Amino acid sequence: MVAGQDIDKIIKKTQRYEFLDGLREIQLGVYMALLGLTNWIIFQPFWVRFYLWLLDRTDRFTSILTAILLLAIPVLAALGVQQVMYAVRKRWLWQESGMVKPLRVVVPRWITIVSVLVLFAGLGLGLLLQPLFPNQFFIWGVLWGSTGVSFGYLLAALGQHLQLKRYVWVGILGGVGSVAMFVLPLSLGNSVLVLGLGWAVLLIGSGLLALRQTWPQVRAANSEGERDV
Amino acid sequence: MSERQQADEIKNITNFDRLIHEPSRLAIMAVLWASESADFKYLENTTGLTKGNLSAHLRKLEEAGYLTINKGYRETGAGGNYPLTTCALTKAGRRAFKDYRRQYLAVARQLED
Repeated sequence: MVAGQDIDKIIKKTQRYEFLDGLREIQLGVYMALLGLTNWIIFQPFWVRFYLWLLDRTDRFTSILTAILLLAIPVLAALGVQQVMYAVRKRWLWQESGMVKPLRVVVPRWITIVSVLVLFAGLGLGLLLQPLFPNQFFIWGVLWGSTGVSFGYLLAALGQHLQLKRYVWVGILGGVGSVAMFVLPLSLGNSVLVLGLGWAVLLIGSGLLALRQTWPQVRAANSEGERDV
Repeated sequence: MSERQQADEIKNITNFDRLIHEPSRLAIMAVLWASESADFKYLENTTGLTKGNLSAHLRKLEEAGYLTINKGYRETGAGGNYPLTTCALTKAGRRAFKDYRRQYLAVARQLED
């Protein structure tokens, strides 16, 4: 009889496949970088001046659409990266190992729930500590720091669930780094930029390292396949 | 353990879905349960089955309504086309695998005790 652990190994191996080559992290990193950047732009004087000029010169609908487009940039970029990702996998990375379309929901529900609880716990802790840090920046640090810690937990827990050590380390490093947001004297726009770019560096760096490790194996497998043909 | 309990245990084992219980098909079902779909090559690599064997098992599962098989082509960089067969579990297949897994774990726990 096939052992229950064998079935679980097969299931985990297939779930993990989507994350092995590092491309998902690169996609997420691009998204985080653009999320930070676009949210930073919204709070900059040049954007406010431009938006007021737009309101003055065009109708309200155009101005609102422009603002929505700016905020949609991270999502559109992530979708674009995803298309590139599929093309690279189809052409090179998964040519010999085979194609898998992952389930729409990869993160187990309990991990998502706990990460939301971590977020609220961080916000609660921040509010309790606010009297000790009576400066105008503290609340933004609490908001983005808690978001970063929550995201770090989600990645680390996902890594643990899928037995992907890389995700555990990225989650822990990012989470610990996000704690620093609590005390950095940054405005709202600057704090979201720092958070976004910080996570982007971690995720893209980790993704590129994984891709670098995967690539030689793929080249060897593909050239072996060509020789057989 | 009473005779009644022993009889229940034996019944639990004999109630296993025999189509899924076969080790090769069990591995195929496990892969497809963990994904929305997988192609023939991935199934071949993960299960270690030969092409002929894998095709036969997939056909059996398809006939039982547990999975769907889509045949198409994928482009290669050299301008050629390779056949691309992808498989996905149906709703019935997902339900059957979930039930099988629950039954299996229950029996395994009883055997451990």
